[in-house]
Amino acid sequence: MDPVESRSRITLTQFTNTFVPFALLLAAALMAPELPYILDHHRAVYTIDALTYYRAVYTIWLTIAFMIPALALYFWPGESDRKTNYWRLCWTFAYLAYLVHFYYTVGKVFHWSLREVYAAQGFVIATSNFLDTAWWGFDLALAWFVSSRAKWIRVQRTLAHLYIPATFFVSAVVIKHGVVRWLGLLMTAALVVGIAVRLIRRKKQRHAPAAATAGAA
Amino acid sequence: MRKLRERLSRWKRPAQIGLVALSALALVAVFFFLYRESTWAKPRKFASKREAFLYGPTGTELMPLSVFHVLPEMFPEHFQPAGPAAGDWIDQFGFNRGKAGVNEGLPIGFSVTRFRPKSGAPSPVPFVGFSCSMCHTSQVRRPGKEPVLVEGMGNYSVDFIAWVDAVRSALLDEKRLTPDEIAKAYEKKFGRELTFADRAMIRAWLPGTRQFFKNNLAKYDEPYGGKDLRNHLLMPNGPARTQPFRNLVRIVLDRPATTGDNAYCKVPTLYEQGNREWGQYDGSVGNRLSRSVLAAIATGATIENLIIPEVSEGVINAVDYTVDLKGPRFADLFPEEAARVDAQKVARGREVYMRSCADCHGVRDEATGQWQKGPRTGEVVPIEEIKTDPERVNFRYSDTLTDALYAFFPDGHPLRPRREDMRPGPAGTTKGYINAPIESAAVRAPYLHNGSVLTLAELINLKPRRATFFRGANLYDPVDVGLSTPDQPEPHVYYFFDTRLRGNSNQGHDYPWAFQGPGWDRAALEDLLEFLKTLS
Repeated sequence: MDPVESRSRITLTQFTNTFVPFALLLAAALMAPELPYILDHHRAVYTIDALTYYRAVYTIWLTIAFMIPALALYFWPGESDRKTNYWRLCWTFAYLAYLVHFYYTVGKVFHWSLREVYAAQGFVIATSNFLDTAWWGFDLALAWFVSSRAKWIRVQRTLAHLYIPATFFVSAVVIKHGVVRWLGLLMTAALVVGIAVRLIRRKKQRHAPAAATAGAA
Repeated sequence: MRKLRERLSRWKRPAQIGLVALSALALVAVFFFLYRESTWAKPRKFASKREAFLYGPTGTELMPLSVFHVLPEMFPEHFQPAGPAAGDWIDQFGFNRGKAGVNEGLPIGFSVTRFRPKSGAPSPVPFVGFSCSMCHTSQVRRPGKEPVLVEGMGNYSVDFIAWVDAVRSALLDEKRLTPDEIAKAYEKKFGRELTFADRAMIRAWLPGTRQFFKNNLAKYDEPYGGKDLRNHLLMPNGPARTQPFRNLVRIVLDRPATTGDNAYCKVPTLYEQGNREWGQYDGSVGNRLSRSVLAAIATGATIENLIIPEVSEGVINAVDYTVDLKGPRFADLFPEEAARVDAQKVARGREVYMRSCADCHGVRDEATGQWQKGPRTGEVVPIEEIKTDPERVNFRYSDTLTDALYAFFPDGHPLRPRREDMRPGPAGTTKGYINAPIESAAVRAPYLHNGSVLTLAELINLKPRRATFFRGANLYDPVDVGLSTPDQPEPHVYYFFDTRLRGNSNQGHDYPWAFQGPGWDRAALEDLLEFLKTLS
């Protein structure tokens, strides 16, 4: 996919347009649980204290919120630097929000204990979550620090952009409900639309030279 | 137009840099806040299980310490219902006065934590809640002597339900209880201003707590205040008694529980809990930790804050403290009276006890020092047989509450009771009262589950049971063994207890014999009373 190749500098506008909402929304996600309205109406579903629970919930909302543009931009056809930079920023901020979520779940809820994580989540989900975290981080490292056009980078990135949303789809849309499900559906729609548009555009491009040739003949 | 565009573009970059900087600053501030927040509720390690019992949290945080300090002064009509001459709120509601410099100088039974109510979220300022010792530590007031504090003894003076109504009355007073008025009262009392954190937390806490009480008025009804707090017709519990499942019905079943519940129970004594497999007077809860957890929930703890490790560990440690906690000997409290105890009468009284009481209650094995259970100890005696007041076992929802309670706790909750530890359920039903050990029998007054019998002499029917009496901070009677009562109400023994009212019956448990009934033997009963003084 195209965004891999772009190494153009990120402009201040691009950074501002992504960082400012990210920072403010992350601040809100971490502080909103302090509101008495939220704390006083908390009803324990899991054995997690209220602040940790809401911080974990709100940061996963933020993660998906930034995944939506990142996925749409990644699969959307086109090769502009602007598009690629916005993808990289959104994909990065989504990951940073995810790391905060990871801290609250694995760190605060499961006390950094693999045994506790696997006991609570089961092998498939726990492994999948760890794979998400590692693969996503690895992909971002490549995106920021490696300018190679190697095919394996492009392939792993596309696979990461399919695998990670797939795991989010399962956990957000299939297992959960409420706001996170709607965000998961939006994320899925962004991904599907992006791929669909890309495929249609590619099909058109393939037919276009043939039609031009036929016309000339 | 072009000039405007140029001007805007000139400002665009600084504006963007400013926005990014401000956003970054906001994020840094949030992370700094999170760091500070993580330091607010440093786990308070108690030196011993005893300390956890006396001062440990139970998840019942009620209000900021600063508010707790000034509320009685702001609402003297509620907190000193007998007037200022009758002493402060500690005296008037029967709490046990603490020591200066210990636990913020609060009465015994109040815990100080850095957790917010309901959620258990960390707080920058201390909050006050309840410890187990509020109800389970009592002063024995001896005639002509200093009172003695007895840990584990049911607090026979504390008028907790009335005190809670006083608090609710104050909190619901929107005109007089405002953050500004609290700040003024605090400054007046301590000569210094509230801190910024105190002010902020009071502003965050007060509206939510007040709204909670307002939302629950339909279930809990308007609280009483002032002199009504001492009116036995309006406040049917009185000192040392609660309706143990009424609040659970309200919380778990979301029902008002205003009718059909006259299940008044005295706050129990907690000596040697290891001797009891099933607890509550009707033997409905089979795990001592679960009993304490349900008591905490009924007093205001939530399943949310009971998740907090410090809270759950505090409860567990406090419960552990009572497993082997020995009650005092009669001689410890009343050495002069103990010196006059007739050894021959004691020996004869022991025989009466072994014939008439030991099967159900067991007896102390003098060789091992362990409590030896009788063949019927732990058995639930049907209400038709024991004939004591039936309200406790027939209260509305008694059949449905246990299932709802079990479902109330989420899976994996560290303090979730096991279903098989609650009756009715897989372990059967309980429509009677459990035969329990009576270690330190002399320090369990008042007697029967509803506290309707003042002395052991009346309980064993050596003397007729009084139909009416006064309760509060009664003097202990070392002769008849139990509480003495004045003929007229006094400032600290004020509560008119009428055993003819529903839930207050002093009938039943006619062992060895009904008063002056068939087989009644005064001499044998005098011997039995003498033995019971020594039964520790």
